Amino acid sequence: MIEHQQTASFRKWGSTLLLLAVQPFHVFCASDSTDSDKLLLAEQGRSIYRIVTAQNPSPSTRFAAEELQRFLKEISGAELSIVTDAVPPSNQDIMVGDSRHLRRVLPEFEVKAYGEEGYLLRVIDDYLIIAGGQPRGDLYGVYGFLQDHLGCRWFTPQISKIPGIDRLEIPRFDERDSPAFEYREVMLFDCWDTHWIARNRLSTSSRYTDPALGGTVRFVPGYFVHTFEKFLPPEKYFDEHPEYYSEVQGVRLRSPSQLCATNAAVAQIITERVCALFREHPGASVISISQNDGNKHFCQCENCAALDKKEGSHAAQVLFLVNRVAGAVEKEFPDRAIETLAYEWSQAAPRTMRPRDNVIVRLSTIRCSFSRPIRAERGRNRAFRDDLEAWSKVSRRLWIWNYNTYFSWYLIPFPDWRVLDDNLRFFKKNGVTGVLEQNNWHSVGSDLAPLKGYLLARLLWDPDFDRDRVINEFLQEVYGPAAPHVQAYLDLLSDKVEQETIDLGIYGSRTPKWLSGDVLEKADAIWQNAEAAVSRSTRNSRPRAGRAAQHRLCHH
Amino acid sequence: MVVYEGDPRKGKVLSVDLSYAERIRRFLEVSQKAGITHLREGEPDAAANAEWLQSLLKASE
Repeated sequence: MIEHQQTASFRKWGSTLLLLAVQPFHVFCASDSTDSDKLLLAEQGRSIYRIVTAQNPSPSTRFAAEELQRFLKEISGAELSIVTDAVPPSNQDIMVGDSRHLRRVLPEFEVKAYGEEGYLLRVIDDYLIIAGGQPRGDLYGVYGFLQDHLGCRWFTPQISKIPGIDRLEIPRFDERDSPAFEYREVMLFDCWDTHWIARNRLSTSSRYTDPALGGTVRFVPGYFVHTFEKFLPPEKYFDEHPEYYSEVQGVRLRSPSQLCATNAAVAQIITERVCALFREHPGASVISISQNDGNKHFCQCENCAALDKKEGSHAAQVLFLVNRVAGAVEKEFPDRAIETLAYEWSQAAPRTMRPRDNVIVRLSTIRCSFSRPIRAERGRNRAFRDDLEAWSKVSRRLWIWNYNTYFSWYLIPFPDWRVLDDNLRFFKKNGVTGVLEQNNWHSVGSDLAPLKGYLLARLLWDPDFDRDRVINEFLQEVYGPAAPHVQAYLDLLSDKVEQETIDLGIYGSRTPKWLSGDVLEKADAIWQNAEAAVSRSTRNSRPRAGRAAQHRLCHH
Repeated sequence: MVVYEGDPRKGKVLSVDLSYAERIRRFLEVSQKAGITHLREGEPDAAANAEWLQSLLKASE
């Protein structure tokens, strides 16, 4: 259970429940809602509505009903009962997920039409329908309804906005929604909370696997990225088989190294291991076969070099190996995927090779400028843009590994705020199907991390959503009276990198030159004003956390 | 600011401005309250950084 800080009035449940026990519900509401264009779901802590599921709903649909019950009570004071379609239908039901009652009202409903995460929100007669695909569509439909129609916000794992609404009525609507990307991961310590992730409808790779939360795009544990050495540990194989490892300038390298990707025995060992791991982890849908991090020792043996030369990229040798394994495991595991990296030395797409349909290519933005749009015609991002477009043409599933903090010193500001939405739209336009946003995943403390996590969650679902509206809502609700000052801080740094066309990288000096003394002084003055604005507020610790970054900078 | 004898962060600390020492105290207080354990990618290093800052404070006394 996480704590919620309600920004609206709190309710006294005891007296409300007493009223519920004696109130003849059918008198209340029926005349009020059926004659109106709106549905009156609750008023003065009472409701005649029930939440209806199938008799044996999936764990996530069951949880969706419970979450709806919980938040409707927080919002209105009314505790709706949860029943199954084993009981007779009534005239006022909220239907969560597919059920016999739903089919009676909406015979054409098909779960499969909504994929894994899409959903329908629809009012028919006096029924509210929240139903979608499995395993997450019903749950995301509930959160979508609470967010888009009732104004609920889950800003951080600790801070939510659940409005108090005495007369809870909703208009008639008929809408479908689904995420822009099949995989949406925010790799950020501040946001690693199962319920926050579910409520903001993010994927979580291998971290959380609770079926009540709908599962996720789950990797085989331990095989998330940089796995060459995991599949063929040099201490196990190198002495006897140095030919399994990269040949660099005529010498086979033990470690740091990569694999000899065109070696058939290497592919065979990996194939056997992948099959064993997939059998061992039936809930995992993806495994990574990807290059080791931290070295550029791609194999230069005769076969690997010839292949790379023909294809014009070192990605060719990686893709050759990955395709080989993917083809071998496909028959036994037709619904699983092999993920690999297009990263550093393997970033450029091969000329003619294509990833098999069960291969996911994850393209890294590591050398980009994060203060400028990737779509820009000129500048540092041009090479990446070309690579993205090339991979897009040949990949069925193309994911991006993006970065949004300064990894050399997490407290350094990272003003990429104005390009986050633009870049996600560019990814979407170019056929990207999944995005991971890597931030400080070790500890709290990167630049306004909770705001960035929340903003990314909203934009990963819908890159067209109004970025400034999300930021403004967050600042108003989380920082209160300090909101304009925090906005001024964001503007100060964003203006600086934008107006002076500064390229923001993720590695470098602890004292980047663009953070000049005058900028730091202005930032410090802004935070002083922010602290003063909340000095008599209960929220006064939050600007201080943000200010830690400034103090670190001012040490130098 | 900090005046070192020799290379910055390697040489002996000769002096630390009072205003700078105040900033250090405040940074340590805030980062401890926030629970910051890592300052950069990789190994935990916030504790080592705090130790270094404490040494500067000591030198400023």
